[in-house]
Amino acid sequence: MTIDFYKNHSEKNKLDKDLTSVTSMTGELKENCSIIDPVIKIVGNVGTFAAVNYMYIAEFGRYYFINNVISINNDICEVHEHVDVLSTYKDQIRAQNAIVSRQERKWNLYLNDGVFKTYQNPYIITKAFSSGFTSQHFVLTVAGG
Amino acid sequence: MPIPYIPRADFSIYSDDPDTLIKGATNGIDIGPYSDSDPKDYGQWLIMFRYTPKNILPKVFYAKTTPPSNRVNVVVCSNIEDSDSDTYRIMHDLEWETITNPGYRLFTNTITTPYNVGGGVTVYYATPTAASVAHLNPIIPIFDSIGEGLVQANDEGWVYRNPDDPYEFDPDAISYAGGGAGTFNNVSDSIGVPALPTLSAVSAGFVTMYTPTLTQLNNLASFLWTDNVFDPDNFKKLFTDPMECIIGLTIVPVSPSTSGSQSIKVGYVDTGVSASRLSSQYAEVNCGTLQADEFWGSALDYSPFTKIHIYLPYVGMREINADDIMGKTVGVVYHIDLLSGACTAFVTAGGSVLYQFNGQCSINIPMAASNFTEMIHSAISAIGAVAMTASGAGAASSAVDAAAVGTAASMGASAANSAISSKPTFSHSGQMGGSGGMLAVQTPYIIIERPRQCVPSDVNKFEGFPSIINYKLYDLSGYTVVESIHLDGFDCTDTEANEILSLLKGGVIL
Repeated sequence: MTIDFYKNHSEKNKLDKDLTSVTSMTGELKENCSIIDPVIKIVGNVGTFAAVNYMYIAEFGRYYFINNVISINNDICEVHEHVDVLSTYKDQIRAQNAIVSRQERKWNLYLNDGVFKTYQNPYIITKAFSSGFTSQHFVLTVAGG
Repeated sequence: MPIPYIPRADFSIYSDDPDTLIKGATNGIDIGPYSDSDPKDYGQWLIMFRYTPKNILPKVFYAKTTPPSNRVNVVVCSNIEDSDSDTYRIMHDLEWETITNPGYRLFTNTITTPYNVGGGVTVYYATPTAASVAHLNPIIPIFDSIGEGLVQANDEGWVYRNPDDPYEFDPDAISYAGGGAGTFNNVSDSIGVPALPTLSAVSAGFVTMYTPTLTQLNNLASFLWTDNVFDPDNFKKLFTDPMECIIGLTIVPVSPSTSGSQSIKVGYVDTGVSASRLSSQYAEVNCGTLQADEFWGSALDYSPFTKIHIYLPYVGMREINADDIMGKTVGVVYHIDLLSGACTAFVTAGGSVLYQFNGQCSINIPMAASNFTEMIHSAISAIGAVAMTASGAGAASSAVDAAAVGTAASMGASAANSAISSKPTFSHSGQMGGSGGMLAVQTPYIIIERPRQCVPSDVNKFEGFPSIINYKLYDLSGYTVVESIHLDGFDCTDTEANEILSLLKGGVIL
């Protein structure tokens, strides 16, 4: 099993992570291991894993967030991970069609989604029509005539 | 003819057990007297069952007591019709077939459990065959009766009642597929400002209207109140009061159309004062247009966020719907009756009349003591009405103000929905008819109250903007919140699929 360790600079909800490769280790699994939330004991001290927060296990075909590193002794650390489904399945995600409720660049502002924020002092403007009543006249009404 | 519905709440035959056709859940059924010798005359009965949507084809059961054994024979069919006491037409596969022995025609029943339903009748329940069970689960009774027994049944006129769910077969309560068959014809007819009326008091010839100048009016007054008793016209005035012939003298804010000048005659008296004669009792004033453009280019330009009032001279302030005029050319046209002073203001949007308001635009000039008294009285009445309206509105406004302060202090930058709806509404004008209207602004205008949006920089990168559009996610970039998606072609675990779904709906950066 080969594990590639990275420093992830991106937000967790980003599909394309900005990664810096730190190191790569090879070994064998000797205990039961989840592919969703693996807990793997790795030879190395805490300092080895201080600079990494992300990893890729080729055999599992998945990227993982490193949630925690527990030092068992000077030579062994227990690394707790959780699968990063967004990066792992980003190609399949992008192949999907979806109804998008909010988007950074593709939007329709005529939808009232209730998220608009407004100040309490609204704009008050007046607009006059081009003309009005401009003259005054007497009108005398008589019967007959 | 529809069969009258007689509810029998205490009667229920149903089954939710696929292995049992009918469970003996009846209690106190009253089907009337029964005669072994003549079931037709004394009480044959039937029970119809409609299958639930679980079954593809609607099918019914028919049960009939058959003398002399009181046995219940059951047939399964798609529809059924009673032709006489012993012959039945059943429909299966959309074909009618006449049968004489329904109990054994389609259903190889085994009469097993007797059940005393009362009235001297014992009902036997049938155990279905394995083949029929597939069509029987669950079954819901449809039943009714009249007089001495249950009658011929068809769907028309029957009311379905399930004791466990009384609304199950209410045709108005059952959800159903439908809709989408609209014409999508959104063509709007343009409602134009009407032409002025052609018939009037002037055209009838009983009334003559003049538009005298101030000098001409002074001359007329001098004539009417002259003291030259040797004037022949004055002699006529001794027999006829010319004032009785003057219907009214008003000031109107419009230039009437005239058709030449002629001497003013009051009754038999020619006053010798010449004035322009009105050619029409009605006049039109076009106040022009203005453009109601969007400011934000968003939902904020429309109600309930944007509020619009329109001031109409001689009418007052009226609220109009921002949705009606936004992005359109708004116009105001008045039609005025110069005889009564009544006016109608047409508010158009996009060339079509959307609003019509009535008002009063003339000032009556008193010509005698009685006229003056009436005018003062009406003026005082109008002022009183306005004062009462204003004081009532003021009291209400004060209360709203007090509430609004607390609300505003706690809200800060608030969601537009709640902020706009919580704003109090104030009256911008009261009665604007008559002399009060002539003292007021003579040009119509609109007051637009639009929200002042609070938009942090790059808010779209943090929250996005509303979209509700179907996209292939490959075509998008940046912050994206998914409303709904079907995850096709994933080779992930179910846990992972659920997490993907949750993350997409919570917002991801593509």
